[in-house]
Amino acid sequence: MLPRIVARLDIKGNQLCKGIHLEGLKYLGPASTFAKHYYEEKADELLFMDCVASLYQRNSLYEVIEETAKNIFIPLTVGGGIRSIADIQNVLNAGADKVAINTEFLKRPEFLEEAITHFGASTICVSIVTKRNLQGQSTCYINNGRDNTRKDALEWVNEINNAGAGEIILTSIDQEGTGLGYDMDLIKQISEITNIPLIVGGGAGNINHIEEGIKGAQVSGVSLASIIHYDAIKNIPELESTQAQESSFTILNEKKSFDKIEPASILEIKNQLIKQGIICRT
Amino acid sequence: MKTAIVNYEAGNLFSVFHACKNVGLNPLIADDGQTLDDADIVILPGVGAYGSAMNVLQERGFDEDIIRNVEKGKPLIGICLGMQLMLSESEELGVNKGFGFISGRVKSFRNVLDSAVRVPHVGWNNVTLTPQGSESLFSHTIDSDYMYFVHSFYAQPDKSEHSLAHTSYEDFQFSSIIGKDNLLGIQFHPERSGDKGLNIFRTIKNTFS
Repeated sequence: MLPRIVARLDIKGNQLCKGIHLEGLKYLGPASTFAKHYYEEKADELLFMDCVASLYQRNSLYEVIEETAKNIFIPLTVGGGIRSIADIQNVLNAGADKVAINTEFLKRPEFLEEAITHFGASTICVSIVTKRNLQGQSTCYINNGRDNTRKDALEWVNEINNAGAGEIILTSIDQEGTGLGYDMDLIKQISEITNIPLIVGGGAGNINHIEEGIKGAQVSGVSLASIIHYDAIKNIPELESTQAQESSFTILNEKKSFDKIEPASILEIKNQLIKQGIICRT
Repeated sequence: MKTAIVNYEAGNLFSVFHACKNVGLNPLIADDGQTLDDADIVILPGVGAYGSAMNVLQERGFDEDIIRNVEKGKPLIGICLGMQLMLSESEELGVNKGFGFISGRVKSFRNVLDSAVRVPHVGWNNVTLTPQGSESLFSHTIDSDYMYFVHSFYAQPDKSEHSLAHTSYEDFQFSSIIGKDNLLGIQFHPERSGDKGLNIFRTIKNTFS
């Protein structure tokens, strides 16, 4: 079984956006253009996160999902603002293979069982978004990282183990967008207490971080954003003379967001991982 | 060449449709038996639970439509749950009967794997042809390729000759493609396995057109 290299696209409207600690979002260009690029670059999976749906009680992703799913023949997981069986059905009908849900599962844990019964466990991923408090404890955040539920992350994982789920997608707000590397302590702790597939994200700034994430714990894969997006905006021809150039210019000028991140394409990352003895699909 | 995809609200219709379209298999979403009768190939997709999937097929009368077309010799391609439904029965959520086109059982990974192993088996894994598979339509299509899997149950045909390819998950080997006469069952998702997956649809088109 190969460790999966998942391209994560945070989406607002139909645009790919990126922030730091899930805040200060910048538009990078049409999400479907990036999705196609990552498919061609041999991404193993795409993860779309609608970063405003949880906040404004709406789902705006369907068109982007449909547009992407027609042309891209790798799995697509979609999250953001999903709060009912009907929402899940709509996202799947639009062409997603799996859904990722955070807020609604924490608000109504019984919804997790309901969703699994309805769609089968393998379609239902639990997204966990964590931040460490002053005591160093990781607690779960909802509404795209805005609100602290004070629920202990490990305790929540144990509850998910009991309910069963297709996958756990873990994002550390502390590390997200910083390029400072993964929260390996938390990843190790969680990987040891669950036998549900685990995808980890938040913090990868260079290829060494990715290697550490894969080798340092029993994970099923890593999700990547900044590191591949900052590479893609330079290398997608269609993005020339569009908003993306302006965005990339802004990002490049904001040293604090950029100097820890060494952009790399998915193929570069995979080739480097292969040299380190990690088998990848290329 | 027309390909009917059985619509019984069991997921992955959309992606199977677009993969077929991409390679020129002329897909149609089939809501009735007539569409199956008119097609050259029938695809039974599927994601979800075994028993309830079989129930929905029966409620809509698709079970008889499918059996009739298989008996006429029409190619039937099952994908994921659709593949498992071709076997005799499954132990998912109690014992549930399948079509029984290929004699065998669907079993739980949880019962054969160490409790620390992650289930579902999800991700890209190696698909290797068996000696029978090397003489099948896939002889020039699959060469130890990585394909995308998502499943918690695996297929175990009674006869090894019905296993065309196998895959290992944590040293446990299971059938990832099964076949017999005009029947073909694929455990992974060729519609989600990139170029190599699309090649499977191309081979199906070239073989049956």
